[in-house]
Amino acid sequence: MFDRIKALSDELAALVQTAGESIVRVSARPHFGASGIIWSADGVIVTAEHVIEREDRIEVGLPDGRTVGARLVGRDPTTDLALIRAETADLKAARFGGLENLKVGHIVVAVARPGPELQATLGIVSAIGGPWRALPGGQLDNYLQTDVAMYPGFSGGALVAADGSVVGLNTSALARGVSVAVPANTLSRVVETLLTHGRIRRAYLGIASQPVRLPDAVRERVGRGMGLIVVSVETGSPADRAGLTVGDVIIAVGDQPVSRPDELLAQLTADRIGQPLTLRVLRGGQPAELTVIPAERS
Amino acid sequence: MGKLLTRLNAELADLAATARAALVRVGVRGAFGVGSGIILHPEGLILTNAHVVRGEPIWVRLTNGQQLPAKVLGRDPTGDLAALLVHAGGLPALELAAAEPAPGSLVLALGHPWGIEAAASFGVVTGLAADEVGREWVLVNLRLRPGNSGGPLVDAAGRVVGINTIMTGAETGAAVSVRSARAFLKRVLAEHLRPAAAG
Repeated sequence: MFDRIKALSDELAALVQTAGESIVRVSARPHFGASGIIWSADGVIVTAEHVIEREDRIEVGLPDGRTVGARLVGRDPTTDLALIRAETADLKAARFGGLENLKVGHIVVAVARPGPELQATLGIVSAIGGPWRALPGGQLDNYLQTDVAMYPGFSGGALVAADGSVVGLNTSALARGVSVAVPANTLSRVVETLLTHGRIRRAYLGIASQPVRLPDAVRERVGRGMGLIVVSVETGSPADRAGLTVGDVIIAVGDQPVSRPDELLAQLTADRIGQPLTLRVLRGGQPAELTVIPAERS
Repeated sequence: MGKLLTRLNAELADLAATARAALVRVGVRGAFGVGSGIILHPEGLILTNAHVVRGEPIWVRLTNGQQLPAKVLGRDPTGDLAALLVHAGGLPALELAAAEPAPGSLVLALGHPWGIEAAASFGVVTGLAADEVGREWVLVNLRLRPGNSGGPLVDAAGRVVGINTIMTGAETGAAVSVRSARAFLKRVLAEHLRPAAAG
């Protein structure tokens, strides 16, 4: 009578069961559980960074009901990803998939394990875009937004496409008010780096800045309306050593104009560490150039 | 592509109509607010939440507008279930599902949220849970509201998998599991049915 709805419903439940074989409970904070995705059979699990509130006594609840200990491999707050290694070696790794076949409007399922039991919810892909800088500052290879509601403990769980592949990791910490998932390509990049280095290398200047409107005369000269005014300089930092002072207005890093803090952050990639970098600034309204040598952010 | 969606929508509307036929409005005379109820037998057996029928006299309104007095067959305030009987025959009834729904299954909730007549909402089972007093719940991604209480949560085959009971968040709700409902009805009917009537 309702054959198609029934068939769709049964397929969804089967999809959740299958995907759930690679979804674990991650217990590393008080009161709330969280979820994690099995990256490899030897115990490597990727989860959301913000749910790891304690680095010792991390517990992992496996799909078969067992609870095992885990240790932290590395964390990257900028993309809200953390890697842990569970003390077990017979897990079922998730099947990851790219965004090539995913379109706005496609049905997706969020699969999580906030407690011992598997949980799931349903939604559609709301937006897919190119590279995007998340709220905590990290660069995601694609913007992936869904209308899937993020329930407590769903962070670190999987966003699963209709073909059963894991296309992203769900987290509530990357954007405000919308559900944004870390796409599988970014997961892969960050996980490989964390496995190799235990951390994500980022360059750092040691300043705080905020956008500021440039005076009309300057606007015409530099061809831009906004710059970044330096509001604090950390003593002994690369910026301090380069002679940058509070009140300087940064208008370009290297050849790249900057007018928002995230544009500045985007320039501070790992390959900039230890390499002389030209900052074009306005000091007292006059253009000046400074050379800074970014350090590695600890 | 659009064809499948069109068919799904048509099926969904049929499913909602089937469930809606067995949905009743339940109230207590002189009390504020209304709840929902589910017809489970053509001869007037109705299941609802205990918190919907906290006083007497109780009235039940069918989808055809007919309003009938109801008698309480059994009430379990802890499990938040009540069985009612109205004097009627040939009513459209829903069947209880044989088992709990799996997480990820599609479900439809019928009820009277904020008094709105026979509203349907569509979602998925997010999980199953038992609380500290042993009650079993079906968790859903539905916006259950006052007036939804006591209404049916039906699966894709139109069988009752839960009794919509509480909102647990802005976007989430919980229904008393069909397992708890079955056990409750078994107890109530055992008390009320004489051996001759049971056969």
